[in-house]
Amino acid sequence: MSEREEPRYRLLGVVPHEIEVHPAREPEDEVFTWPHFLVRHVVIAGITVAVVFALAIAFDAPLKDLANPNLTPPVAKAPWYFAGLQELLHWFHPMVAGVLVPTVAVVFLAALPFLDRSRGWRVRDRKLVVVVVTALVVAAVALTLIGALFRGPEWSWVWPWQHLYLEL
Amino acid sequence: MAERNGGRTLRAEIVEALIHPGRRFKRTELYRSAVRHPSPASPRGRAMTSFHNFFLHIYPVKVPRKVLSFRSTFRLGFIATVLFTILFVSGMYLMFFYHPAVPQAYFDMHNLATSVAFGQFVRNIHRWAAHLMVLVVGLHLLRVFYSGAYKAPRQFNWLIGVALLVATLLFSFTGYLLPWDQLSFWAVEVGTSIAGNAPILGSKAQQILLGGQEVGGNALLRFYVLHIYVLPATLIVLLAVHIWRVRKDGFQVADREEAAATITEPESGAREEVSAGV
Ligand code: HEM
Repeated sequence: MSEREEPRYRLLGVVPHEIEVHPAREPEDEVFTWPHFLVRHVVIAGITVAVVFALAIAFDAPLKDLANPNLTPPVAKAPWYFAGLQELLHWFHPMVAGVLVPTVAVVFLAALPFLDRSRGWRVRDRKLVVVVVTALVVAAVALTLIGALFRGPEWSWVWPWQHLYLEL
Repeated sequence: MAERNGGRTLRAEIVEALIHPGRRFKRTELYRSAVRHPSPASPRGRAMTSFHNFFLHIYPVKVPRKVLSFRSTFRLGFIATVLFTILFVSGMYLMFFYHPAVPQAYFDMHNLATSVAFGQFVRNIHRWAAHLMVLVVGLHLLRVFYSGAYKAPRQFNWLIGVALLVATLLFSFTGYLLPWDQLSFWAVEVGTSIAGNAPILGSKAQQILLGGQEVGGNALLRFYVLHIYVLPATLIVLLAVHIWRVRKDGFQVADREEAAATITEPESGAREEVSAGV
């Protein structure tokens, strides 16, 4: 082993400034996963299991009569996460509500990072995309709530406090 | 044979095994062949723990301090993963008592409630965890969107996320039919009749999904196979890639300050010298 040498430097090249150079993170900004991060995950996992167990003790999963294709029940609802689509189906042609809207929604979601040309991660750096997506989310949540909570026999309007036609 | 490794006598070994069985066990060849890292009491031990443990390998050895704050991710992706694990385990138990056949499937539900140990309880767990998972995955998507974590270099992981969302919905929907009661039958009837409206491929898609013209025994079998084989395999692979990508890209929360600190508009023609130690 030779004696420790002073490091020597040599110019390798000149590059445009715009090239992203990620500054190495300061070591103080990082902590060991074990135990700091892991402990938090264990706690969250425990809470999640506890919540599911509590729900399972408090409420039984529903079970109606045996399926009968010849007996249409007064309310035939899709599961709650599709209630918004079912609500749309009430207003638009099935081609639009059942096929076009969900397809466009998934394609739009998938394409979002490639469509959004704004720079920066802050909401104020990307006002347009935040406004558009928020409007769509509000519409989707509203339709879902209406379909799941405010609809009864023959898809008529029923206030949830009069009768709640919601099965989970 | 009185001398053992470490110079301990057989008597000392027995005494230790009785008084500190845990400590003695950690010195056995069995334990040391399974757990090869030193105790995680020192920084080196902690790093070694991560390097040598398959399960901890999912995590980076170190994480940005900021990700320790609950508000960095609200832990929603992690909670979704925990819920999926709960579903995987409880679903396995249910499979032992379920026949995907008309009308036996329905009677199996009654059986679970009346004559299977913890049958109703496990069914309840499976059902509520499934509903929660749809909800939590939706919230996770919103968290990722509002924190801007879908942007470069994480666009592809967002795409994987969208695939995970679709898989989660299909999971829930195929599972909904399995009890074969009036609720599940008509919910799926409503859902699948929509597929028939798609142009050209619509009736074909419906035919493939249901294995016939209407929701019947073939549909039940197809939904079952999707639910317990195709979708779990798909979701597990997607999830592995998803979480691996999070590890590779680093948690987005760590980029937030850096991005703010980066000078975004350099003087025109500005140059930087890149040098390296030789
Ligand atoms: C089965 C469903 C899903 C599971 C189990 C899952 C799991 C995870 C986990 C464990 C993380 C680590 C950080 C965190 O906990 O938030 C994460 C991050 C991420 N997820 Fe998901 N995810 C799912 C669905 C989605 C969806 C639907 C999207 C968006 C369309 C998405 C996009 C992302 C992105 C971009 C990150 C990186 C965020 C960051 O670095 O801050 N994921 N996911």
